[in-house]
Amino acid sequence: MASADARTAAKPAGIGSSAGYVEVSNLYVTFHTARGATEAVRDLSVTIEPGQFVSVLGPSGCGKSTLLRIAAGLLRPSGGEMRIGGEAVKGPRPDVGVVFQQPTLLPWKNVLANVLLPAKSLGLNMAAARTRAMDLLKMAGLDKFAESYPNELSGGMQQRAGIVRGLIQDPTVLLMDEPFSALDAMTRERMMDELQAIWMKAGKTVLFITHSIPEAVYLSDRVLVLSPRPAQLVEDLTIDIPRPRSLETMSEPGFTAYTKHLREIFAKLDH
Amino acid sequence: MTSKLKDLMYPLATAAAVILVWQLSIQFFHIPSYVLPTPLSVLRALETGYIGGVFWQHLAYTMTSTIIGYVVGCGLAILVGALVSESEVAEKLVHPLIIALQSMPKVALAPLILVWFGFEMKSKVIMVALVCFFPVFVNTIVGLKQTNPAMVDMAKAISASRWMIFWEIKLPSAAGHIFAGLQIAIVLSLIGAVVAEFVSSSRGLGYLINSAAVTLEVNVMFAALVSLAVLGIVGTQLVRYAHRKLIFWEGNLSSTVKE
Repeated sequence: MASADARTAAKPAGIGSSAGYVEVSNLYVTFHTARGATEAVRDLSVTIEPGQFVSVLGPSGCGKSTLLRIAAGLLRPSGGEMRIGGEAVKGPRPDVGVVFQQPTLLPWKNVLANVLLPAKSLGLNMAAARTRAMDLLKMAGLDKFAESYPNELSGGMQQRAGIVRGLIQDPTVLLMDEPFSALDAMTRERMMDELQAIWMKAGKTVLFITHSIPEAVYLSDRVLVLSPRPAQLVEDLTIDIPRPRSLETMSEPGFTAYTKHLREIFAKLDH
Repeated sequence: MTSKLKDLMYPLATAAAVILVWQLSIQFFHIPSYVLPTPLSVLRALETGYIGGVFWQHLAYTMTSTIIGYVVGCGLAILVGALVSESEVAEKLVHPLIIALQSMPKVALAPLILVWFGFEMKSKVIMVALVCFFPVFVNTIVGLKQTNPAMVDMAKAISASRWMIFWEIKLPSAAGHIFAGLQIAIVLSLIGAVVAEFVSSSRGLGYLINSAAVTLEVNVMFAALVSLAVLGIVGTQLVRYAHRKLIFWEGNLSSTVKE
């Protein structure tokens, strides 16, 4: 696949030596339940470069979310390790932002207060965080809703607020766990477009968990495909489509070649 | 405006019907006034009682023990409920005690409490606090346990402290349940106060009912009952109002309030 420069051009300049690097080395995860042990991840190794948008694609229940929980510091691997910015992940960290499957906004706080929650818990300068929050909300088209409560927003707006919350502490890495899976198809496509715009401006390393092939191809520099449990890396595909990509991109032959290729891999995984 | 007026019409119509049936049955069945007083004589008892009479001091006495006991009992219930739900050890220790006490009618403890804490205000307050404690305590624990685990995960991912998770996420999540408990407790608190006064007291609406029973002043008994009903209604409405104002994010409140 040609034109790799399109991808590198999208990378932001000036990122430090190891900041934004995500390294997974020989990762094993085994869950112990009353019915015995389940191996969720087996010997997974992958390196993600700073500023890359990487999707992790796999059948449901394959351990994609497990990978994200480890990166977020919410779960310890049984073996191997995950390093972010050259440092082993031992717990939640300020340089890692997380966007969850559900927006998980607190209904008793307005949008601004919700977005500022990480700044509060991390003990950041609140005045500076407030300014940043307003900038980010403006970028996400939510600046007029800063004083609104979550139940006054649509699902798509709530999820955008969730993304802004994930970006508030200016993390080098943003983890996203199927953030659009609860949205309807139309909103979903618009959100993909908006996420691309936000990513191109913010320039973060993004680890994006999804089970949607077009979503992964549309958004990513790289798509990692995991096998069903125990999760192993079965494909590491670089997506060479120039940015910004638009919804028309999705019907171009270059795009459909990628989705076809990934579908074929999925079909093989079923057997 | 008109719908508000209509909402008020129905309970008023019911009240009018009850009073009418009451008055008519006295006339038709010749019920003597020492068994069932006429609505008018109850009204007169209320009038003489509250205008220059002794009712105010009885009302004040019952209200004082009820309010103090309610605040103390509910406050302790929320505090202990929070501790128990946050600590697994505390929960295991307290659980059997709760089961044992929950199924016991608390009013049966009234004579014992009067023996232990004297016959004045203190024992009434303790009685009220005791009956208020359980519904609020149980609802606090249930509410805190029902916090959306995704929200707790989110908080952990942003390095929120345990205190912050409790204060900013779990407690607001539980607030609806806690208010349902507070609603039940307001009714129970009056029961507790009146029962304590029945057992032994020289003041209060419970005492008033008891002493009027001795002299067969049935209209005074009814007047005291009406006073208690008004207290109960006002208390319930106040808690309901606070619920609506404080827990503004929960849309339909009537469905969450258990009575």
